[in-house]
Amino acid sequence: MTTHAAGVAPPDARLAPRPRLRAVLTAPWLLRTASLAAFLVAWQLIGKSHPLAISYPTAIVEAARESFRPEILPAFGETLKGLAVGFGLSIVLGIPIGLLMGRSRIVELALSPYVNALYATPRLALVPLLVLWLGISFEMRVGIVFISAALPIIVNTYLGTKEVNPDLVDTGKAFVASELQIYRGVVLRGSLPFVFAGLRIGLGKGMIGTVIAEIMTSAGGVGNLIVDYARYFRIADMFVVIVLLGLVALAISWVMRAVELSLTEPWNRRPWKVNPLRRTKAARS
Amino acid sequence: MLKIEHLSKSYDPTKPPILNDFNLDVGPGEFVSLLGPSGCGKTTALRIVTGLLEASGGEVFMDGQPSTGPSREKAIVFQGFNLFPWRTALSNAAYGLELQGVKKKARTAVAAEYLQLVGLGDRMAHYPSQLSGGQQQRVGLARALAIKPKLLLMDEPFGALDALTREQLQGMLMRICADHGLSVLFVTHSIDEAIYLSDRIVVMGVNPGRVLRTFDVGLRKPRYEYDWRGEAEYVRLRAEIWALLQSQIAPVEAAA
Repeated sequence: MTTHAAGVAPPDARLAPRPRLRAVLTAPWLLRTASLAAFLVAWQLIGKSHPLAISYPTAIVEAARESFRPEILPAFGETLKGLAVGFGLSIVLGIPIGLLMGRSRIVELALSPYVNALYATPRLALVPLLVLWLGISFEMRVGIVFISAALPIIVNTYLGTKEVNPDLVDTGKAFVASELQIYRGVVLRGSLPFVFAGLRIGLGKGMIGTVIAEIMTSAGGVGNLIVDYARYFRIADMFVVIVLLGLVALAISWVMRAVELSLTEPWNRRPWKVNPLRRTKAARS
Repeated sequence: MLKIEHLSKSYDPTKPPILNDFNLDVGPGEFVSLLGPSGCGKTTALRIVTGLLEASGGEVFMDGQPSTGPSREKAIVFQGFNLFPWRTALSNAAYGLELQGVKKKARTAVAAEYLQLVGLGDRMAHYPSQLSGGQQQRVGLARALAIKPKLLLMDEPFGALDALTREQLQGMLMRICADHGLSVLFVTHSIDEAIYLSDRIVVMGVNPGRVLRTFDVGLRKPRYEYDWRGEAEYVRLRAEIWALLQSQIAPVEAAA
């Protein structure tokens, strides 16, 4: 990029550097900040004239200050506890089930009808059934997160095993790997990018599941709080919960992405960004 | 060392077997090549010896003991390299030792030693995607040698490489075999490669896959020290093997 020597004129006018001002004005960070600021200002102006219906940013900050400790934090604690246990259970059971389905024809044939049917079913339809079985309880929350999150994890892990090069499994066998060593060292390792895709989808579905169930059943937690706030027209408080919910989801998926990268980089780089050392020549020509 | 008796393999009883009544001995320190056209069962035989494939009949012995599955005494080098993309060169080379439960420090030292031996001392931290084909196969060879096998099995190991790299690795393999006194069973479809590397060449035919004839290679070793292609022995062997292989290819073409 910086190979043009100072005295050499660029061979083509289209390659000439753009005017500085325009480059600064179109910088991504500036555009993003400006867009966000414009949105907040517009929201503030419009919201002020309809405070009951849509609220506005300064009122939301005020509401956050008042309600965070007594109401919002405990609700998040409750929701996230169920989410953590349910999601953990989904990982611990979902990944081995997916691996077994991928490696064993018998397990594949035995389980795939259930997995496929459940995967296709809108699983939130099972919420009333789970409430009937488990009552409005912690177990019910865990159950809902589990049915929401486990299936994408199982299905993605299973698909991932099919992408593992069978020659690598043979290599493991030839060097006298035990079946467990092949599962862990070859099949799981080779499926990791798929497994993590499943985890990300599963986490999203788990969050949706638990919040919807709370909205549906007055089981407490974040969903319930949103319903309560709506009932009393506490729109500003409602927005606090919604924004926080988004931030929490963002934070969790960010952590998962970091774990994924630490496990799958640098070998799972996409071809177009493989090894900078090897690609430079091709990129220049 | 390795003894194969009456080995056979077939998937479909209505067709001629892939491999029929295959017999072979490989002595200690001996380099034996299986040479033949596609479909002669040479790779099948090698996979059965490795333990990746079950024979339909016959037996394989290692030092007089029946050998049915993979074992630590045998190590294989694959045509497609088969390195684990998520492991570095060093970690790939240490794979066999890791499976055997060798402690990290010890297995890393051994793996590094063999990577040095194959000329990759400066590429240990590289991932396979960062290595050329020839470099990847060097790692494959280091991985096999690191478990100190009695028998090295090689399935067209240089088939996927360009001509210059192939020659370079052939020379390296020859040197290592001589230095370490390795016994090797080598699968190839290149007459020159077989003559250059082998003490004995087993030429195989198709339909059914079987041994046609065995040739002893009388060229003195080490062959990388002189122009072996200029020797009368080379010219004679090549002509005889070529004629024998033509008889295997021609009928297939006529049928098609």
